[in-house]
Amino acid sequence: MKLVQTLLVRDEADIVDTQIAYHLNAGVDFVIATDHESRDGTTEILESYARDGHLRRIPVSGEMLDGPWRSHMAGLAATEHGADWVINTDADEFWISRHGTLKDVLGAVPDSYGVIFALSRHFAPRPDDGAFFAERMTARVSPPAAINDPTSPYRPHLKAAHRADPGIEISFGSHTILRSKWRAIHHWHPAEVLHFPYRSLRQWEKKGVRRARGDKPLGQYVTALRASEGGRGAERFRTLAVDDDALARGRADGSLVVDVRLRDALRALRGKAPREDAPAADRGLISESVAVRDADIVRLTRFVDGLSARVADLEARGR
Amino acid sequence: MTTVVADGVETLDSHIAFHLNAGVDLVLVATLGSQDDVATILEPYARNGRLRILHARDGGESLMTDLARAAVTEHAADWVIPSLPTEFWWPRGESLKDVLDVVPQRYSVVQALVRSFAGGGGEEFFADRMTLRTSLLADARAHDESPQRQLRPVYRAEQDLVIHPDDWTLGGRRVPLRAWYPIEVFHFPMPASSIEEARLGERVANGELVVDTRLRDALRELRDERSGGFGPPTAGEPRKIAFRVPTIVDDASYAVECAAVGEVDLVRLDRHIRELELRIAALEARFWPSVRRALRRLARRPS
Repeated sequence: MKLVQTLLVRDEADIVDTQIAYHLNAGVDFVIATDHESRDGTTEILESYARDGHLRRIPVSGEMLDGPWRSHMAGLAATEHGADWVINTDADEFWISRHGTLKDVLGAVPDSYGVIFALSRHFAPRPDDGAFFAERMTARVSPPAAINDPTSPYRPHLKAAHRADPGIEISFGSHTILRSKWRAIHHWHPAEVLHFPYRSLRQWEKKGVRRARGDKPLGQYVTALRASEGGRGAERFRTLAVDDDALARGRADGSLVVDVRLRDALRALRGKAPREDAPAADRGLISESVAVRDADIVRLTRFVDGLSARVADLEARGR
Repeated sequence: MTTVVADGVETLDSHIAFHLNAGVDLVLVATLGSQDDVATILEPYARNGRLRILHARDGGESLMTDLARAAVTEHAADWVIPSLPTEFWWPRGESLKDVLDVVPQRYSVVQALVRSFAGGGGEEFFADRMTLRTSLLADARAHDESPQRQLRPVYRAEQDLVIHPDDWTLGGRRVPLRAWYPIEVFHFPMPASSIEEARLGERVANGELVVDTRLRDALRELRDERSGGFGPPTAGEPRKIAFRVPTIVDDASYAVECAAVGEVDLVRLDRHIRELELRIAALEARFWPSVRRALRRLARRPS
């Protein structure tokens, strides 16, 4: 099996090297990366992997075309790189299989299906003591119910992987597949995506300001922009970060879990043995799988509300 | 914010002072009747320019709509909160503006989760004596209650705004933000019934009521120690209430309560889609006859 990873990236130099190295050691055979006007050293990191034959870099500029760019990469994976399966990633996401390797679980998908969804597991920022993000960020968010706040970075969601398909159409964020010749398995999540959206004050402000002003003015980015413009960035980031007290509270009520899987995988990559006292059993998986389903019902309800409003508009015009 | 005041209310002064410190720019108050005590409370705020008094003859259904439209057309409001004097709208963010500013544009109604405070006997100031409120974490009855009874709407400004207590989400052109409530409404029903007071201990023990001192503590910051009253904020003065932005641990717990409201589920979604289908069918039934009529008219025209 040939496993190809697509990556859409812009200015993620603090994490992208780790992300690519991790996946190339986790079963990915080749990476196709769309580089959207990076200026922080991301381009040079991508080029170094390209020189070694592990990656194809596609430079793009102008307006962000998230879904089309992801679809283009997935198409190339099928037509020019001989992929059997494709995982679609962002620079802050680390795919991990629940059993065996990524290739093991994808290889176990019945022939009649070709799309699966990995469950995103969000990690909260921790106070920045200068340590590497994976060493610090071991607090994973595990809410007992879906957080449906449209401005929250912790809303439950899924990420799509699929068999090769030249004509595939992937949604914004690759949370779903818009068009494919393959049938999807919706209720089985053989892989997880360990997600590290905010890692430091500087990265949070930079990402928030850029996205709020440009390609994606989500509430979480607008919050960062407002705080940054008002000189309150550090104060606001402190409310986002999980300090020791919040971690203790969260662990006590089960909303936070210490998860060192990425930390230990990266230590192993760097030749350092994992600590002996590592990870606890993942008791939140079932409730989070339910939460992502509930969140999808909420998203669908909100979409239907929008349609309903449009119908009401037509009704009013016809009177 | 709009408010209708029907009689002298113990909470009125603190209600206005609190919201002016929570991010509200202007309060439009409709007074029913002419109580001197109400006028005494309102006038300092009106002189300060942060409150406008409108005298209403009766409290008819259109009064809230009139106030909301005045807020939009005469005071350029971006959002309108139709409130009662016994309610305190508590933002789950730095201020009411902070939470409303980041609501995606496609939503025109934000809903707030009602927290009813219980108890209430005694001579103490209401916020000092009423610190027990309902919780949805343990209250299984919440599932039997209509979601709308547990929610209150905030409206994004529009010219033809209509405020109707029974319809802020369904059927209209407004799109509500469902299943997440970035504002809590602390409601202080007055007076509390003696039956309720007798059951307070039992309700605390079974988790229906929890201690919540957020409003008490906030009003202590605002209250003038000498006079015991409140009054308008001074221009340029920093806000006296510092609202705490919830952490992810707070949000995880709140998510359970939002789910307990039961506003969104597959059954309701199914019903909603079927209603929509009927409305689309009615539109289709109107559309084709009108197209045929238009074509016939065109055919009759001399070439």
